[in-house]
Amino acid sequence: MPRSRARSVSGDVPSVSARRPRSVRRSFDDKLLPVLLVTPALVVIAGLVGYPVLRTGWLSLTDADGLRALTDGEMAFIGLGNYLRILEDPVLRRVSLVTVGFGLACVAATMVVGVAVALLLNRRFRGRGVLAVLVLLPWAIPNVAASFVWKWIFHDQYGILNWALGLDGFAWFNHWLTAFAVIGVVVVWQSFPFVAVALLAGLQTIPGEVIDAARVDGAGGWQQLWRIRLPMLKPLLLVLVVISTIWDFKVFDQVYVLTEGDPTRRNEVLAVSIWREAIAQLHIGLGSALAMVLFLILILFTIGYVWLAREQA
Amino acid sequence: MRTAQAKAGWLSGAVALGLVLAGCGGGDDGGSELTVWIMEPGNPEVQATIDGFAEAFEAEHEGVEVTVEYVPWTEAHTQLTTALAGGQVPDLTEVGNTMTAEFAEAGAFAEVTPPEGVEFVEGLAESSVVDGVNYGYPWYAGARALIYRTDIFDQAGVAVPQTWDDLLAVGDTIAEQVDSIDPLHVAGAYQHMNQPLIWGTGGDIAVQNGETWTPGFNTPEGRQALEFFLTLWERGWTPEGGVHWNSVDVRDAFANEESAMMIGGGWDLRAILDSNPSLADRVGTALMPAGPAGSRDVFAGGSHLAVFQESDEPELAKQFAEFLIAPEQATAFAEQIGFLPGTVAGVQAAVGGDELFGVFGEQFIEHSRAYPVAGWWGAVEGSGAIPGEFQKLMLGDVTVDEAAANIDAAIQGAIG
Repeated sequence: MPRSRARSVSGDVPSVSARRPRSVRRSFDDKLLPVLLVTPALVVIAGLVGYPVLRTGWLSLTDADGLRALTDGEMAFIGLGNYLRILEDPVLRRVSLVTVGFGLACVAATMVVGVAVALLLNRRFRGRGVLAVLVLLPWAIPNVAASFVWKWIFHDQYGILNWALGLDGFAWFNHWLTAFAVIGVVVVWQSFPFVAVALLAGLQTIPGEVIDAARVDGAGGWQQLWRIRLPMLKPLLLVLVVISTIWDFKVFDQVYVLTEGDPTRRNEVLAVSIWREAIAQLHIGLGSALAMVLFLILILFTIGYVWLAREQA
Repeated sequence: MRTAQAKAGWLSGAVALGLVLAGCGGGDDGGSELTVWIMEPGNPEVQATIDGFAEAFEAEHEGVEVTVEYVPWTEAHTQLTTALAGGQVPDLTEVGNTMTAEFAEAGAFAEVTPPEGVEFVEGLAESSVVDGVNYGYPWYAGARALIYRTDIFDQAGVAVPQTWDDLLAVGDTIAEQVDSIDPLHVAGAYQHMNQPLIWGTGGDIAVQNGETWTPGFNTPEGRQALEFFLTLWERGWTPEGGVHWNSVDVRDAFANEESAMMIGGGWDLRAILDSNPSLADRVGTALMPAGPAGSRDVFAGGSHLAVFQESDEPELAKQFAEFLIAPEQATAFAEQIGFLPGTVAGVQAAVGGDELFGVFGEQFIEHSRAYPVAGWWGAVEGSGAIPGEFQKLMLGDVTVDEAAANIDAAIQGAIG
């Protein structure tokens, strides 16, 4: 996000300058001043984002392992060895694919729920304001706290859900599919409010005349949604999909609290694998390579979305 | 307006920088400063107790300032690692005894000599000795034993199980005779109950021979231990969610009167009696039943105090450590957190003669031992491979032979 903002600032300036006559003062204003103004932000971004990314990239090409690597810098360059290991390791290979599959499912569910709630809140009815505030609540709850609450809800013995459904001691976390369903519920529950509120703002910018005209032409609710509302919100939807993708692909807290990737690492996603390798076992090289894999996956998806947006435009 | 803000920004930046520089040059005022990290068990009273010890120590040593910083247990490993990597270490730290060897091998800790003439509990003391050099002061620890319901035992007409076979027989009788209670629960993520079972069959998690370590689960003893665990699970006494349970789930079930026996520590029993005081006259404790090889050994889990190699005040750090492990302080502290002090005399002072809690003392002194004391052990725990294989075993994803082989492969991978 900060990077794109910086670019748009520097990109705007030349178009303004084109109309001005040239002079020393002008050329300072046009050429140097923008650079000077952007420099502090660039320095901060380079320090806080650029350096860690480059450092992680470098570590991913080394065999850094254990405390000695941290204290004495004991490591050797091994090229793409860690990446080959990820490709060869059945667990890590599966985790990479599972991260994409689970992430996309969460994004899809978040968008569907978000659109539905936004459409609901866009109607006029009593208690709409109260509902709008309630909808925001899950978003305001810290991930870890929310995950613990859901863990109790889904507890096999004392969980309110098994009690309500009359499932005696059903163990949600014993099978990877039901465990992922639970994790997905928590992730979507926490991420849909942002999407819903952003879309609600978007829906309210659609002029009433457009909808009225469609209604006069005999368009039903679904047709209004698919032909008018959503197409008009496409740029906003795209941004929300990109943000959701980044959030849902790197989900950690919910998985860590609910299952820690168990049973048998089948519920592991990349963020948890990175923690397990780099932090828990101090396999710093391999953990860095996993982090780069997640980074690359996210870049690929983001580029894909942007390309899609350009195609459509 | 803008310039005023900019000025304020510069000014605060300069002040912050000044503070940082001042911090770097601290300790020049003639006195000595000691920074100590204590792991936080999530109990506010613990902080008050430790702060009190620090004040008492300051009062005894003029010009000494002790700063105690509390680190949550879940963050312990990461914090120590980060401190070491950044070269910003405290003088003295509490360290879990499964981690001591890892940091000692990395050169983080200084050699220390625990006070002479004091008998430390072996299970705890042995876990700070790497290659013949001691890197920690034994502070406190605990050991798990059998906690059981005396009323259910009376009802079923059974005696306290002395062996694993007894345990199964007692369980079967309870299952037959008493409705609405499970004999014993096992849990996939209760590693400190599960992995020490290998000692009961005469095996070991890993065996050291000179410089080399050999993993020990893929052996007749290792497989026998896994087999026994599987038998307990396949009896069907534990709800199917047990695959994912940990020690707290097992304890909660016992406190809710859903199981007649559990393997747990003194801290578990305290928590049980806190949440269900009506159990007070209906629970008993006994030593862990002996495995086929005759061993009742369980894991001696606790803490050491370690002095950092890079400390500026190593002698003072050692003095404060010795102050903390002295009987008066150690006993008060250990009791508060439900553990036992690291000395034989301290344990006897704390629980000796106590009908319920005395057993935990005996279990700790006589029948406890440490996990492999080696730097690679941290990576084994970090990988979660051993609990993972126990869970797979419960789910039927692997056979005993496969689980044994997988565990050994994981341990071997960590040994390198």
